[in-house]
Amino acid sequence: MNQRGISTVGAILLATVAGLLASVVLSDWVVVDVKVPSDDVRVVVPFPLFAARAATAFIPAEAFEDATIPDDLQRARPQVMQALHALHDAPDATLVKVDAPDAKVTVTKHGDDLDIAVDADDAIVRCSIPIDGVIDALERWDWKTVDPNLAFRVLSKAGFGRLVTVEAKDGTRVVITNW
Amino acid sequence: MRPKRVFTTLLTLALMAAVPALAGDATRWLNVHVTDTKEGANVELHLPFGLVMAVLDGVNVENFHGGKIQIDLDHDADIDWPQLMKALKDSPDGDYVTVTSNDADVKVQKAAGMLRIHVTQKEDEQAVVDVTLPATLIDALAFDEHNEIDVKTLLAGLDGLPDGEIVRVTSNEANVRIWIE
Repeated sequence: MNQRGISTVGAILLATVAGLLASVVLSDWVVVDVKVPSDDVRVVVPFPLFAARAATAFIPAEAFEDATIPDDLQRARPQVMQALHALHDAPDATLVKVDAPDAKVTVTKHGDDLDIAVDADDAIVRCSIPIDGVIDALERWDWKTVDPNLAFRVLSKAGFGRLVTVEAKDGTRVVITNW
Repeated sequence: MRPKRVFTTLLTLALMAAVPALAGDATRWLNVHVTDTKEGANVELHLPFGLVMAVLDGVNVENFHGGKIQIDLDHDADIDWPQLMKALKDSPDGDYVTVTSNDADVKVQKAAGMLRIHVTQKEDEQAVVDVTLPATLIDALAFDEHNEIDVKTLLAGLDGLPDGEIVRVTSNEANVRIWIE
């Protein structure tokens, strides 16, 4: 009887650990890869998105109490949301193209993503922003207080692959990947 | 019978597939090309009307608030703009304004339901401006008591127009082209 009780507890523990492991493995992971050649530094930080979101819950509210959201931004909420929905519903196309002597910029809507490419003299930037993620995050936001979870809500809707790549002229490189 | 039935089914499926495709094509686009000839820069905007209309409300910069642009009118000229616009709208085709001066030549004409404004600047940037708008949009061009034009109403009117060029500006410093498709 006692032996059976122990095996039941063991089975529950095992199932719990397996469940946790499965959720970690199956959840979205974000990898931040920073390389600074001048200091011979490379830092790679992989973290499960759900863990990052959970961690923000432990940030004390006092940390952001001095940070205020401008009234203008709060008032612009309907317009911002309307613009985002219009962008989301728009067909795929290159929306903006700037070709200047020192930089080239393109903003392209591709499916649910807004792809931004900047080729400047001192840096190359590629960024893929999930529009539905931004809409979701902003709809949940109160527009009054700083919400550290905003960025993670956006990321949670991102497709797999590189989200941000920044390559500076001095060799510094930052890559944020979702997988 | 069977080939006919197959044909009918295929035709129905093809039509069902075509409807969303045609609806997708219905998106109207506002195109703006600006070429800064001095700096060698080129800006191209290709934006769906729905997005432009949504963004306009949120723009709050100098001389542009709430979808309205404030124009610095020359009060010395003492022109009753609302009256002028109303007269233009109700008038038959013809040349309505022809100004020739040392600064610029201006011509405003109405032809085939279109209002055409042509300005040739003779000094500074030596700009040549061509604006072509349907006469039905003259109301939207009217200035209110604050010398503002309701750009949002104007654009809403443009959304229903056939494809075509609206504004073309060429000058020593920059070239601008605005058209809808």
